[in-house]
Amino acid sequence: MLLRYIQIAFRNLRRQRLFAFINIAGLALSMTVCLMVLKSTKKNFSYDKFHPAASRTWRITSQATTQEGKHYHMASAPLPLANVLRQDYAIAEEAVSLYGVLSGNVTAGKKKLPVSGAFTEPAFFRVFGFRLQSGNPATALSAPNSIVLSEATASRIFGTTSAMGKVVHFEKLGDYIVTGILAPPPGLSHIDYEAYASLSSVQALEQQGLLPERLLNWNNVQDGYVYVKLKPDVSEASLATALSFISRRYYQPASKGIGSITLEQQSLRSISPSREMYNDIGSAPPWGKVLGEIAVGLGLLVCACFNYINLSIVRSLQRAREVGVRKVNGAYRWQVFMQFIVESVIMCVLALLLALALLLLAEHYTSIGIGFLSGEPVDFMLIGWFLLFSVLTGVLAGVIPAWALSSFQPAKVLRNMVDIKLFGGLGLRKTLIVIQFSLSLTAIIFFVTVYRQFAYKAAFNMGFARENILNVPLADADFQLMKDRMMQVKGVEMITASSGTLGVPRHSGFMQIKTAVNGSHMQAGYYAGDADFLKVMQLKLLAGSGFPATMSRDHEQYVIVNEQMVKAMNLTSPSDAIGKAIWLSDSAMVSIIGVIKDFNYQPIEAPVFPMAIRFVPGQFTQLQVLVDTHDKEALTAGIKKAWLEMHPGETFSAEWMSDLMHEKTSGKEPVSGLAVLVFMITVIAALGLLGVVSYTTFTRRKEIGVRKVMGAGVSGLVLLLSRNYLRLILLAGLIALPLGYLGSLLFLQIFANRISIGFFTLAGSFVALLGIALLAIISQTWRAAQSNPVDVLRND
Amino acid sequence: MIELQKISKHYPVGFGKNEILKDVDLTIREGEFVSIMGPSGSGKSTLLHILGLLEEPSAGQYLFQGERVDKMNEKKRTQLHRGAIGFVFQAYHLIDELTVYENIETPLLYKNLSGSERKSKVADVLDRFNMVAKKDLFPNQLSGGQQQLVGIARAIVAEPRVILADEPTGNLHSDQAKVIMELFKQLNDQDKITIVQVTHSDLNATYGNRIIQIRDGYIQG
Repeated sequence: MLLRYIQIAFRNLRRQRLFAFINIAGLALSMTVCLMVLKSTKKNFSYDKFHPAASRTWRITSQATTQEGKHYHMASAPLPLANVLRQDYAIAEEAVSLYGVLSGNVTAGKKKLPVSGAFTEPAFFRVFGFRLQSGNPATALSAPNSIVLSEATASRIFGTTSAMGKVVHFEKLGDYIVTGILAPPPGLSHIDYEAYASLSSVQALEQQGLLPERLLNWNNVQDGYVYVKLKPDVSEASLATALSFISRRYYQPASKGIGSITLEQQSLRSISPSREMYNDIGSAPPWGKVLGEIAVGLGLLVCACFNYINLSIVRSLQRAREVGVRKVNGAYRWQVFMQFIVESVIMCVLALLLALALLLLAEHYTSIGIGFLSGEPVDFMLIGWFLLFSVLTGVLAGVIPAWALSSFQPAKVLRNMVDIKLFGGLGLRKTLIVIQFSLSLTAIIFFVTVYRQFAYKAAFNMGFARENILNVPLADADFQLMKDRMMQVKGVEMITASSGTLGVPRHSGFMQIKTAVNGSHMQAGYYAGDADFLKVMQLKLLAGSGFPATMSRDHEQYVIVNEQMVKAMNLTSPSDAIGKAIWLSDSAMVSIIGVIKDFNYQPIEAPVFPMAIRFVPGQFTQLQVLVDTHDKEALTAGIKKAWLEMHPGETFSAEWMSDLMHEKTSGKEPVSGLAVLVFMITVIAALGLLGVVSYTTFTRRKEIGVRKVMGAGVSGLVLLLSRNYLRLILLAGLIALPLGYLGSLLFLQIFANRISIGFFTLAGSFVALLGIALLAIISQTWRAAQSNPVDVLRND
Repeated sequence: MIELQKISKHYPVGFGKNEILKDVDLTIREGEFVSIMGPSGSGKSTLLHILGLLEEPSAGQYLFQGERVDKMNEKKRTQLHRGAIGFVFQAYHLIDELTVYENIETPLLYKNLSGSERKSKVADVLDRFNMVAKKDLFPNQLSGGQQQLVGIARAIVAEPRVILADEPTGNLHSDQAKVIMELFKQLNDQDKITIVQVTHSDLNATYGNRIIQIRDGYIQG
């Protein structure tokens, strides 16, 4: 029986090519996105599954209230807590602290590598499921200055030679002996440091002043993470009681002017996806993103299902007789129902196959743009999930049409086809079409705004030069020496040393400053640059001068500030600021030597804040080389040659500033990702409309014939047949225009410098959608209006 | 085997009602071949639909094989459709997506017969109607007469007690109609299947052994 259903389903698909194409294409498009979401979701929920007693392991978090009454939920906890839990409470089987400050550059031979690690205790290996590939877990983290490296980090530092017993030198935090190598963990974890050093090292570091005093400090909850593994049979409630008792013992309750901390437990299993806590660690995405992805996937899928429902119901006229015959031949309603469910499931499985192919394509060409969804590679388990998913989709999409079709009364459908009432009438179909087009138009408007904003951003004059400037890393060379050497390269016009590239996210430094008028500290951005910085970057000097050509390298004397800084100092004109003193964070006093015109030193999302250009050679990381344009290749080669003379054996990497700016600020990924989604949702809606118009026009062919015989013209008929659908599109416009406008407005709030949405964005988006809809409608109604009335009327 | 007592049928039309059948009393015994005749709109088809349990009467009693069926639920009605009643339609009503073989097999599928039983029954019927060569064709590849043969084959394959035929030759020319009517006669004589047909044709009516004239919802004399 099932076999027969499947067979007839395939025959139907073959006969109804338009119907099959619209449904399978729409479902496949949306399923592709759903599959990506499924993969990504599976990854998002696969964190921390390999710990031995995850159900009774908890992380202690802190609810902190500041003196000003502000409230923060922090994932971190005071470090002494672990000891208290271990010693004073019988409920804990193990407790372990993670102190995530072991970060900085590691030097190994001539190499200098950034490593981010944490200090922790031997209990680490008893609480969590991490295993050592070499070394003894019981002792590896006992002795001071021992360190366990992840496999990747070990090979990054030591290459192929064994790391065990070797010394790792942290620039600031001293030497550590490698006592263990972590085996690659069997799954993802929110704990993913590259190195773990023994917590017993910290005491000495604190005594030397290399680390702030935290081990016994209850009031600082910034950097420590405390986990407790409860004894079996100990309930969450007893942990909560213990924590509230500890909170009362070490902190006074919050009141005016007094900050406070309350400790709370969080199950290890609920850490990822993360809950938007401050100070959280790990790479797990927040719930918002996880749910957002799922919503996008399901939204698209529902749109595709709408098509299936609409088309199946419209098409049911063609299947009605079959239903009648089957019932007369002894079929129960549920049997007919099942037949149609099987058909829709088959349709969905076919769509799944197509979606899998699309998925592989999309993964092959990640440039298509949905790169923000990353997930695990496809395995059999996942394919099983996909299959289950597509069957569920089939049932979901098929229920309404199957219910409608199986409800036909044989006496009615076999006698007189004209009288059949379609399930849900026109209301249901119209609603579904309006929903689809509203979503589509909203998405189009949003997309146009995002696209325009990013285009605006790319073309925005940020107030500094970016063309023909090559960024060359200093890589520890002396900037002046390298500058002198590079100046000899033919085609180089000017060179400046700097701490980062203007306008690139996170390249700007931040500091606390104090001025004569601002008693308290205020925050300001800064870039370190040398005497040629203003010239190369073409920053406009309003008063004073740039840095003198020779300056003390060790003692900071002068600073150049922007207009905002002048304003923040309550000065009216730039020239008043010259010679005024500023105290920098390390209480060094410098005087203002020049004032420059405001420019966007940060990406244009942020408004221009007070900033300074400082001469700090120690912070220079790169040379920015302004060149003559003609022969960039020869020039780059010359610079490379000079660079390699100063850095024998290292790899040269330079980048054009304009390329870097474009890459970091164009928002290519969100824009193209959004473009794909908008394209999909519009295609699905247009296909659905095409199908519905095609079938309803088909059912009206007799009316068309009669009207033609009475003398109706083609244009009049097209108008008649199209009018109702145009009304639906207009209604969708009424719904979607405000929605899209609001959504765009919300998006634009991110940017300090933004476009206005404008009439043309809204009108243009609507006209574009209307055009697509008209194409779908008129292609069908035109054909119907052209038909020869005799063909239709003779058959009846 | 069929007993109608004071059967009426009316449809709501606007605020009033349109009476199709009025106080119909009718008894059909097992093995009869009955022809229902009457002008268009006289209620023939409605009467046949009521006999076939496709429509419920508005009033009156209907006994089928001694059992009250006029207020039967859908499940029990379907049981009768599976075993006791076969239909033949004027427009054949074959399923376009199924082959001749599959069309004939359909009622057996719903009777939950095993694969081999279905095979032998369908083969028997195909053999008897000389349609073995056409079993893999689709309905639109057959002539009208052949399609109606398939329709009859489908109606008898589940071995019903009664066949209800609604103008079975209405869409056929006279040669084909003759073949079909002789087939009915044969089924009635040899297989002892009760046959009730609705027809306009006096010639077709002569194949039966009783004629019921119906006019404006009343059975005439």
